[in-house]
Amino acid sequence: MNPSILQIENLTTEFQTVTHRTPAVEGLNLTLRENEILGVAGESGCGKSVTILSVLRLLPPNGAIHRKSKILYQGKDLTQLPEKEMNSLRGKDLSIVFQEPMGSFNPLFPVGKQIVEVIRTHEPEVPVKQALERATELFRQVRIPHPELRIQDYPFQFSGGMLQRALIALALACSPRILFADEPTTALDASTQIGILDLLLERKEATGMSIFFVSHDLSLLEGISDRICVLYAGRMVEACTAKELHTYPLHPYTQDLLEAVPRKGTFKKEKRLYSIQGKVPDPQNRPIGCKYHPRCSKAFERCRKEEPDLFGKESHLVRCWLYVDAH
Amino acid sequence: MHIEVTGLVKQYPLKAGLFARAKDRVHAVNGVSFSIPRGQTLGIVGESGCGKTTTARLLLRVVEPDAGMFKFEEVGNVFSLPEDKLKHVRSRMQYIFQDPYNSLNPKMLVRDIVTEPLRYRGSSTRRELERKAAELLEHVGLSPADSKKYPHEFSGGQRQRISIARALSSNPSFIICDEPVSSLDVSIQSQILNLLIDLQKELGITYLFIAHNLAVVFYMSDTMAVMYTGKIVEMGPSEELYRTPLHPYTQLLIKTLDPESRKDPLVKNDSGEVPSLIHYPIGCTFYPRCPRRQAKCLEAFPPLEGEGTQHQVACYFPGWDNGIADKR
Repeated sequence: MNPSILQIENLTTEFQTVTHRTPAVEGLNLTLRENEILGVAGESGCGKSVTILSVLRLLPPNGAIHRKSKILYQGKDLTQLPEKEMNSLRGKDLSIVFQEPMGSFNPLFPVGKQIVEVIRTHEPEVPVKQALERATELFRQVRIPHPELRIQDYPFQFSGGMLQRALIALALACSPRILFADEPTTALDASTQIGILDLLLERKEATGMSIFFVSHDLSLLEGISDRICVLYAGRMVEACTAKELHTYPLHPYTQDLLEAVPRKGTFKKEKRLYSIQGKVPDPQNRPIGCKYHPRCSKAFERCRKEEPDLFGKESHLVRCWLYVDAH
Repeated sequence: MHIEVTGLVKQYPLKAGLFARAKDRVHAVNGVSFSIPRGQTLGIVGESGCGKTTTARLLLRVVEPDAGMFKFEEVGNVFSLPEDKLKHVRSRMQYIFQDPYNSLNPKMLVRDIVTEPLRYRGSSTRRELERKAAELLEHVGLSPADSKKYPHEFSGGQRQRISIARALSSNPSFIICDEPVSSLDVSIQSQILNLLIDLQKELGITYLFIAHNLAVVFYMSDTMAVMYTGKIVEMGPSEELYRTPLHPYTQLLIKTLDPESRKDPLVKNDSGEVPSLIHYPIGCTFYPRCPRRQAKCLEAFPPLEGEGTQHQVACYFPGWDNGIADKR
């Protein structure tokens, strides 16, 4: 097993609103290993993006990381790092690809110029000409046709898929150790999506970086991740290898999700979809006990009163009272 | 046939400007024909900008078509009806939008939202409307007590139920569902999909179902049409289309259902670049991306044909792709 590169310990991130303090993530423990893809699955509001923003310290002003939380990268606690040091890590060691490529570039400058800017911010000694050559090479690596011409184009001259490739080139510009990918393919068409995934995997193999891949699509994550962690209502409910999640999903929420989504090759006359009742709980008003119990078909007395811990082996953790004896 | 559409065309003229000549047009929909039997679902898939939504809007005449025929029930060609007769036809056709947050008026009570189509047509008393609202809400799995609330008091899934109730209020026989679940949480989607299937069984409604999630469209549809640059390139019963896709574009789309297929050369070498819809090419529009292209493909766009009428394909060299066949 590869050594760990990023350790998130007991991460709690809260947002202060006028009247309430709303926890988005509560007590999250996660380890990202070197050269692995960690898939993070969950619905909107489960805390997947907030986790990324917490690690990169890009939370909005009303968001705060709890003081007992630790985020360890190369022996340093990122939550304690001065802003200046954090700035030198962002975009260099820790890089991010957002869902919406159009919103991630400045529309007024050519894409190539924006990549050069990133390179020269972190490595001021590199002359502009050389940085531009590097940007062209990055364009070639992300398989954008005619890189030496496209490098001069403005963001609006790219299609969605090509711009997402350019955004990946930007994220890879300073050879990051960890790439955070926040739903990088959700805004793309099915046919371009798969090319982007392949590209990320290829760059991961070529550079040895790790990828923290967030998506709401479990079947996509199963296809590309080494390990998967499923979040629900700000906590981890299940974590194991992608293979194991595919064959033995344990948590009722994971099982229900897999049953509720039409899989390839299923048709309505063959099988009715499983309907998960109710809705994702409001973060200000999460239920007592297991957060999934109001929607769970297997819930019993204990689930309504006490919140379960993570049970099971190190290689397959699950937050559910059904597995309390599985140690 | 309940719905019969032939030769649907829509072009948007561009204003003359710095870059465009006055004669330039965006070819949004270029000769689309299909039919749907009563009580069945036709699914349309294709990438963004391929004309799925424009097709749907043309049917309702929210956007006026440039050419084409749309035979619907006893009214004949909907496209040649005068504006004042459309009112009746539109009550038999309804639309469910993608975003349940923007498609419901935040200042109206749920009761008024769901019965608005009825009030628009007149002839109902206040009491009748209230009774009808309660009935509709129960039908879509909400409580009659919800009729006195406002949209913001509901979650995304519940709001989509309200849109469905509104669509049902005028007793439509044809509903266009334009991405009805893509803005909903994964755990909520199946509730709405199951509701749509149940309503179809119970009321015999015909659906035109548009979504970009391929697995969802396959699941929901009896027949599927694959669109590319404003044309249907392949159409057939959804199971057949899934198991034996003939058009290279359909084959590419189906491969994307499986993340493992990323190493497939067909997927790997795909550039994803769609030709301009302004300078519409003469030949097959899929030519630049096609692994089977030949000189003939540049001469004219291949016609949509097939043995029988069940499974049709617009390709000069249709055929099985062994990579797909081997996997099953």
